[in-house]
Amino acid sequence: MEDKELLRLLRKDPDRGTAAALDLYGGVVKTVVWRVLYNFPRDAEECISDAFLKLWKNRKRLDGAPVRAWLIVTARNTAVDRLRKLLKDNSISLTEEMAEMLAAPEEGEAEEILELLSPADREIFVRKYYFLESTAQIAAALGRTESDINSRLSRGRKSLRKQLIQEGECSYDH
Amino acid sequence: MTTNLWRTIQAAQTEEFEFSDAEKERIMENLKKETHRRSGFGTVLKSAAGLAAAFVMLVTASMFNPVLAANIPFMENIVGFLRQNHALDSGVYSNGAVEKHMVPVSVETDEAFSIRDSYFDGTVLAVTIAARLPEADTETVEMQFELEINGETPPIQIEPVGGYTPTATLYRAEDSCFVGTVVRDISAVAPSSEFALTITPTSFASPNGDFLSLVPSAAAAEITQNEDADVYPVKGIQTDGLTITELRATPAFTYVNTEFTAPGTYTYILTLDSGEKLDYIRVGDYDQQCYYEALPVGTKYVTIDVYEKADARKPVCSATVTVTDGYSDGDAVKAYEDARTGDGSQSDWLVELARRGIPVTPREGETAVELGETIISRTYSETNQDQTKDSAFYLDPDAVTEITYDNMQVYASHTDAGIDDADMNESGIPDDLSEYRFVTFDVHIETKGTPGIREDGHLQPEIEAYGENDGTAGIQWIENYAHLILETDFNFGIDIPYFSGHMRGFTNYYHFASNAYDSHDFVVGFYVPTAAVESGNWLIGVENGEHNPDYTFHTVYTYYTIPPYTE
Repeated sequence: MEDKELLRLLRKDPDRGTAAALDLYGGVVKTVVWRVLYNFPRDAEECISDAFLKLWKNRKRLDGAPVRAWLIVTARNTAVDRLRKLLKDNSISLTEEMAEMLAAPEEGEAEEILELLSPADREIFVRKYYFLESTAQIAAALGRTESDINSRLSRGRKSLRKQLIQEGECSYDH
Repeated sequence: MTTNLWRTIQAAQTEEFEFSDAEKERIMENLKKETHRRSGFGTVLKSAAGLAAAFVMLVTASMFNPVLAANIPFMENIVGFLRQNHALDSGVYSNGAVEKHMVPVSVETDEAFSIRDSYFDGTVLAVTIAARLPEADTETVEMQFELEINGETPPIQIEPVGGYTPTATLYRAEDSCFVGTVVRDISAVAPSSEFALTITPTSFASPNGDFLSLVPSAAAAEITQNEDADVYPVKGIQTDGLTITELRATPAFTYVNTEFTAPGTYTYILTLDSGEKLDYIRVGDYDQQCYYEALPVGTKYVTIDVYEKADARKPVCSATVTVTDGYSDGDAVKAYEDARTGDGSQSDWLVELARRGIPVTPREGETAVELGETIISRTYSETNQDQTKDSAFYLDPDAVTEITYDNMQVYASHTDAGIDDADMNESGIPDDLSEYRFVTFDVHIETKGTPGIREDGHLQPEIEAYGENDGTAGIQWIENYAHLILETDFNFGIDIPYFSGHMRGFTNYYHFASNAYDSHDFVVGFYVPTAAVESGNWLIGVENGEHNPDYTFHTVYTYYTIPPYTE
């Protein structure tokens, strides 16, 4: 099913449209959310629901948008936002891993960084900050060494002045 | 405008976690709770968004057929080739008019990347492209590209082209040759009747995200507006307070802009007339400004009727524009079928569907039975087996729900059937009942190991309130067993207006509580177009718990056939 057809189904028949969206993208949304909230399964499931609810709410606005990408960014932002709240409310210690999650650039800044990167480095950047893969995972997936991945990521980090991602849902600008 | 970020995320892959059916069910429950509250979940949305929707084709993904490709001289008819492969994803191609008006672009055919044909009507630019990609080992590739008109990048316009994707999909046609199409509304950069077009590929990627290392250089072409596109703007037609400020018809689209300023809420309906009253097509209900598909050949008049939303019996005003002809090969039925896939009024479409009398038959792999027979559904079986909490008593691999429809009764309305408005689901009641009958059935349901959903969340009050609860109760949805079907290829998700066991006051009209082994007798009522009632050309679909593998998410039904009824 193509995104266009999915969006139309969401508009016409939200029940089946949502089910189709879950079929198509449930796995990747869960993956992104769980990488942030692996210690908080109940919150993770709520965030997955929230991401798809946002898709449903935005079903008319997203015509022509890349739904998978939109959901990934929305899921990441929703999960990271929840993590920040959990850290604040529960006095949970911030681990190095969590700090990395929270250090992703804002959307506009990410766009600028991507402009400076080669296509190969763009994928590394996206895997790191949007799919929230570990350096070891990226290295394994792309057949590179961890130090190579870190080196490539550091080029983009120079531009990373803001350390917390934006709050709320992301937007897709046609 | 965001570009690279979204493209890169869309194309990139990651190792995904398993997403189980049980998780999906739970999330669906949460979503239903939210979306029901917001919009009458399950209805055909009546909002008149229809603009782009009228143009969006139902594009079914189709596997590329290499035998077909070998037999097609693709360079002579790329659009035809793409059409045969279900690869035209813009509504401007829907009825073949743009295809007829495309003209070849003069290029050197041995170039690695080239623009082959063009169509431009002053608004829509459609071009075919061809690329030689010897590295590609897949049947499709995604091309990222930049498009410039006289050196300027036009902004993205969703309408009238019916959607926008930042990439173009190219399909293998012969050996290493791939072809595709690019469609854009370029009116924002206001090109003259002649302009320079440049398309610069920036990357080619296979469906699994692998980028090709060789990217051909840009292709340029001089584009000339199609003189035979015969764009004719009509402006300033006034009738009864309704002004057609603009009617613009091209082979790619029909644009209608109207003004009607009387207080109230109104619906705008475009109809086309061949002059012989044979091809009178009610295209759809939309907003005051709306894009429709290209006018079919033979169109003589275009009429815009304005109805009060609460009373669709007679228009409050209308205006008719005489046109010289249409463009597309689509006949009345085709134009109607394309239009009805947009967001129209549920009531209108149902009556129109029934009036057309297209036979409503089960899809391949589905079966139908007569009233009085019992249908087996496993809709809740899988869910039950996935749940572990308190589930020992219903972990039954043979768990099923048995549904039996019988005792069909036909009434003029639910009031005629003695049912109070308060017991109805108002979102399922048509605005105008004159072309409907209210049809009820007795429904006997037996659960055999399938209590439905059991959880501690928002459903718990309903479960606890069930007087017959033997400790195994859960919640089911009558919707799963009661689909009004007037077309089997695409289920509109029509609301059931009446369910005798409704649980309004809790979370959902359609819920009913059931023990794992239980028996229920309900009455369900449907508003069915009179034409369908009289012909018996409709079905009731009962979900059997499976999904059709030929569709991404099409429920498989077992149907009840309905006998014709005459008063």
